[in-house]
Amino acid sequence: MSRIPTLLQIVWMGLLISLFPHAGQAGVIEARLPTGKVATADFHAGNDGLPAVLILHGFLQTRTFPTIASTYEALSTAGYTVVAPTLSLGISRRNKSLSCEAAHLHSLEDDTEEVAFWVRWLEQKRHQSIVLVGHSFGNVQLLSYLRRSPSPAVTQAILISLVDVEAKQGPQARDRLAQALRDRIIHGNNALLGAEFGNCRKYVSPPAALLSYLNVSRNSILDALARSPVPVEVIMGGKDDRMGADWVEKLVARGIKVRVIPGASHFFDDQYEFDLQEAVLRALSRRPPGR
Amino acid sequence: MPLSLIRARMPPKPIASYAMALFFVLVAALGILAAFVFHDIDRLREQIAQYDEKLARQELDEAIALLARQAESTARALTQWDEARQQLENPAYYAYWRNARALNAGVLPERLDAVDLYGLDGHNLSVTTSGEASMPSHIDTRRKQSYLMHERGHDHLYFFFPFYADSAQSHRIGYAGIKLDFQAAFNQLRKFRYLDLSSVRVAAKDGERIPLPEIVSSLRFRTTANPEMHALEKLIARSFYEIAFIIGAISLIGYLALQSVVTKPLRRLSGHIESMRRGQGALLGESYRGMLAVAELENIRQSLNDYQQQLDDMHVSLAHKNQELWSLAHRDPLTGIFNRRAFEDDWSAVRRTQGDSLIGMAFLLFDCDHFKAINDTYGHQVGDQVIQGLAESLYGALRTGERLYRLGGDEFATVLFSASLERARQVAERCIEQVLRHDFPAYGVKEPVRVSVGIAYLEEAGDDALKLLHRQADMAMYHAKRPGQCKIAIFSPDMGEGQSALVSNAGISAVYEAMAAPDRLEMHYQPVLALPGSYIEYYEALVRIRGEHGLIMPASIFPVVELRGLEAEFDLAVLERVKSDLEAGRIPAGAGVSLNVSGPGIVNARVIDKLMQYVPLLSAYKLVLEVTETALITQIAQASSNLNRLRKEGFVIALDDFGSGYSSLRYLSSMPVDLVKFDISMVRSLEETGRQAVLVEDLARMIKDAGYSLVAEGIETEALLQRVTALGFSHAQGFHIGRPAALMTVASVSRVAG
Repeated sequence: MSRIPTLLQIVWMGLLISLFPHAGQAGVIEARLPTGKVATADFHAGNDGLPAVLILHGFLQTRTFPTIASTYEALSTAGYTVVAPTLSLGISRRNKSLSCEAAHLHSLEDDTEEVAFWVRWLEQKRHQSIVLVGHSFGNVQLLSYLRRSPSPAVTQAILISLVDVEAKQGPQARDRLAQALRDRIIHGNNALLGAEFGNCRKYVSPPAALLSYLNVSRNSILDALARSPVPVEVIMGGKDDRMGADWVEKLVARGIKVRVIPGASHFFDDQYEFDLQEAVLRALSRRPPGR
Repeated sequence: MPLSLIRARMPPKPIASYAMALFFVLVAALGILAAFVFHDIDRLREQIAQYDEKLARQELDEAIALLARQAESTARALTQWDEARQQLENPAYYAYWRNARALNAGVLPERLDAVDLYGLDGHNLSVTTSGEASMPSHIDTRRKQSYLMHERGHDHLYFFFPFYADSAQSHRIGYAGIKLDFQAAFNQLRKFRYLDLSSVRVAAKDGERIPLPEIVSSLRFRTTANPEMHALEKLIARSFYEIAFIIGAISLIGYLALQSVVTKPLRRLSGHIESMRRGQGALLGESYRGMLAVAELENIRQSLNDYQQQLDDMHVSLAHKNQELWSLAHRDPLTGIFNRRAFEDDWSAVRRTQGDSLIGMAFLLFDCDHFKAINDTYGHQVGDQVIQGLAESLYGALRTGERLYRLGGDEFATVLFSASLERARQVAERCIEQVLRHDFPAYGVKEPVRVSVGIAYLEEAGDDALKLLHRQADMAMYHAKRPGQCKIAIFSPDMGEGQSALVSNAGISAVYEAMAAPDRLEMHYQPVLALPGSYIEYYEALVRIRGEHGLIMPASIFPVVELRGLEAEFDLAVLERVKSDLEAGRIPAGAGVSLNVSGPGIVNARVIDKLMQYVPLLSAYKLVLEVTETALITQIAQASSNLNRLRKEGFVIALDDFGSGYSSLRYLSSMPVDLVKFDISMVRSLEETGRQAVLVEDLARMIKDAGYSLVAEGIETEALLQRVTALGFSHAQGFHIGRPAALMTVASVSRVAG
C-alpha cells in the first residue's frame, strides 16, 4: 500500500467530493481513499476566518463516539469548520467500532495516511489553518502524522486524553510481543494471531499490522510531542484511569502544555463533556498564527 | 299392515307397559338425539379440523414468510456489518471471519448454521465447502435463490442475497448466504396455534432443493389438538349428558309418578273391578294417593263406588226378588207349601248329597180320596179350599223342619229323614187324624174328606233305591186307596207285582194298545149267583189285558187308566169288547152280563152311546151296569140322568163297592140304582163277630127293605154264602161261586149251572 497519494488519486478524490451536494455545508461525506476503500466523515463548514478542525476518534472507534461527537457539535456550533472522519481500518464505509476479535488488517501507517488524506481534503477546501484534535489513541495517529511531514496548513494539535500506550502492557511485554511478531514476519507467517493489545484482551491481526502499532511507545510519543512542528496542547481528565500514574507529569516534564480537567474520565462523559468543549474551544482560541 | 289390523292383533297391555314403552321410546329418542348430536359434533370436528388445517397451513406460510423476513433482516445486519464487508473487499483472512467471527460476533443470529460470502462471480469465498456447516461453493447470481434442502437427515433453509457496499444498494460487491436448520428455525418462532410443530416433516428426497415459495406445499404436518374444539366437545357432551340425565330423571320421576299416581290407582281400580266381577268387590276407601290424588281417577273411584253401591242395592233387591221368585217357583200358590218343583229340587239334592249315607228315610205320599168327585161336586173353589185344608192339616201334623210338598192336584208328600218305619207310620196316622179333624164341612163339603197314605221306607239308601222310593210310595198309596184297605199302606215288594204295570212302560203301552184295539182285551167273566136259587144269573165282565208276560190284572190297569184320565176311553174299549162277545154269542143266551162303567164314563156321551148300542141285546141278555158311588158323586145330575135313561132302556143299575167309600145313603137314595153290591170288606166282616157285622147286617136289611137288591162280593166260603143268603142278599159273587174266567170256561160253567 502506497503511502503517497498519486496525482490521479487526488484528482479522483476531488471529483468524488464534489459530487456531494452538502460537502460545503454539513453532513456525511464519503471519500475513496488511495487504498480504494471508501472512507466517511462528518463535515461542517464553519465561518471563514476560523481554522478548520479535524477531529480524530480513538482506537477502533468511529466519529460517532460521544466524546468526538460532542466535541464536533461544540466546534460546529462555535463556527468552526469541522471534519470528523472515521478511519476505515481497511474497511470501506466502516460505520461501527471494530471489535478486538475482528481481523485487523490495518496498520498505523494506514491510519496516518488517512489522517493525511483528510488534512489534504481540508486543504482542498481551501482551509489555510487546520487544527488537529484527537482523542485517546487517535492522538497517536495524529502524532504519527505530525512526525511525518505534515501539511503546512496544520497549525495546532489538541490532544484529548493522550493515550499512554504502555499503561496496559509494559514495555517488556510489548517488546516480547513485537519480537514474536517480527519472528512471524521473518518466517513469512502472516497468519492472524490474537494478542493482548491496548484494551483488547485478544487483538486479532496479521503480525505486520500489529507490529506497526507496537512500534509506538511511551517514549516515542513523548518524543513526537517534543518534536511536534505545531503547538500541542494536551487535555486530560483528572480521573483518567487509562493512563499511567506519571503520564501527565511526564508530559509536563517534556514541556507539553497539559490541561487537566479534574474529575473527568478518559472519555469526559457526563458533565465533563462541557468542560472538555470549553477546554478545546479555549485551546483553539489560543491558536497560534499559521506556520 | 293396516293400523286396525295391528290394533286388532295387539292384545291389551297394562298401563305400566305403555309407560315403560314410553320410557324406552324416550330413551331411544335420546339415543337418536345423541347420535345426531355426536354426528354433528363429528362434522363440526371435521370442519374445524379442515379449518385448523387451513389455518395451520397459513401459519406455515406465515412462518416461512417470517423466516424469510428474518433472513432478510439477517442479510441487512450482515451487509451493514463492517467485518463482512471487509471480507468481500479483502478475503485474505475469510476463513477466520467465517469460522470465528461470523456466528460469534453477536451481529448475526446464533441459530444460523453457517454463513458464507460469495464474490460477484458467485463463487464461495471459502476454499473448502464441505462439512455440516458447509454452504454451496457457487451460487447462481442471476436469480435470487432461497430454498429448503433435505440433506443427511436434516432440513436446512438456505437464503442468498446480494451484498451491497452502500446503503443505497447502488454498488454490489458480492453475495451472502446463510444456512439454518429448518426445524430449529421453526422451533424458535412463536408458538403455533394450529400447527403441531413436532409433526412437521419435509417430503423431499435427500439433496432435493425446494424453492422457498414451494416449501409449504412440501411439508407434512398435523394440526394441534384444538382446545376450544375439545372444550366445546366436552361442553356439548357434558350438556347433552346433563340434559339426557335431566330428561332421564324427569322421565323416571314421571314414570314413578305415573306408577304411583295413575298406574297403581288404576291397577287398584282394575283389581277392584275384577273383584267385583268375581263378586268379591267392596267399596273403595279413600283416594289412593291422598294429596296427589288424580281428579279423574277420583271421579272414577267415586263413580265406581256409586255404581257398586247401586249394584249392591240391586243385588239385595235381586236377592229379594230371587227369594220371591224362588218362593213363587217352589211354593204352591194355593196352599203356600212347597210345590212339586221344590220337591224335585230337594229330591235331587237328597240324591246328590245324601247318597249312600242315607239311613232311615221314609217317603210319605198323601192322596185325597175321591177328591175329584168332591171337586166336581162342589166346584173348584170348594176343591181349592179342601186342598188348602188338607195342606194345613198335613203341615200341622209334621214337625218343624219337615217339609210338605204338594205334588199336584190332591197329592202331597213329605220325606222323613233318620226316621224309623214306626215313626213314619205314626206321622201318617197323625196326618190322617189331622185331616179328619179339619173342619171341611165349613166349606160346604158334606162327605168326609180323607187321605190315603203310601209309605216307602228305606233302611239304607243307595242311589238306585232312592230312585225307586217315590214309585214305591206311589204304589203303596194306591194300595192304600184300594177298597177295604187301611188308609195307610207301607210298600212291600209284593205290591210291585200287581202294580208294576202301573208305572211300567209295558203296562202303559198295553193299556193304550188295548184301547186302540179292543180285541187285545181279554174279558173274564165271574159268575154271579142268584139267591136263594142256585143259578148263575149273569156274569160280571172283568177286564184283563193280554201282555207280553201274561195277563195284566185290573189292579194294574185301572191305576194307569185313572192316573191318565183314560176312564171313558177304556170304558168304550171294554164295552166294545164285551159287545163283540155278546154279539158273537160267546156268552150263553139267557145269561146276563154285568158291565163296570167308571165315574167319568157314566157321564160320557160316547160311553152312553156305546151302551145304547147294547139295547138290542137286552132282549137276549140281562145287562147290569155297575157304577161306584164315587162315580155317582161326580156330576151326579148328569150321571143320574144317564142312568135313568139306560134304566129305562132295560139296563139294571148296580152300585158297586158299596161300603168301601162314603157309602152315602143320600147318594143311594137319589140315584137310580137297582142293585147294591156290598164291598168285599163289608161282606167279609160278616164272618166276624162284632159291631161291624151287626152294622153290615142291619145295613143290608135296611137297604133291602128300601127296595134294593143286594149283591154280596167276596163269597169264598159256603158259610158266608149261607150267611148272605140268610140276610136276604139276592145275589152272591166270589171264588166260592166261581172265579173270573175266560169265555170258554164261562160257557162250560153256564152249562153246568144251567
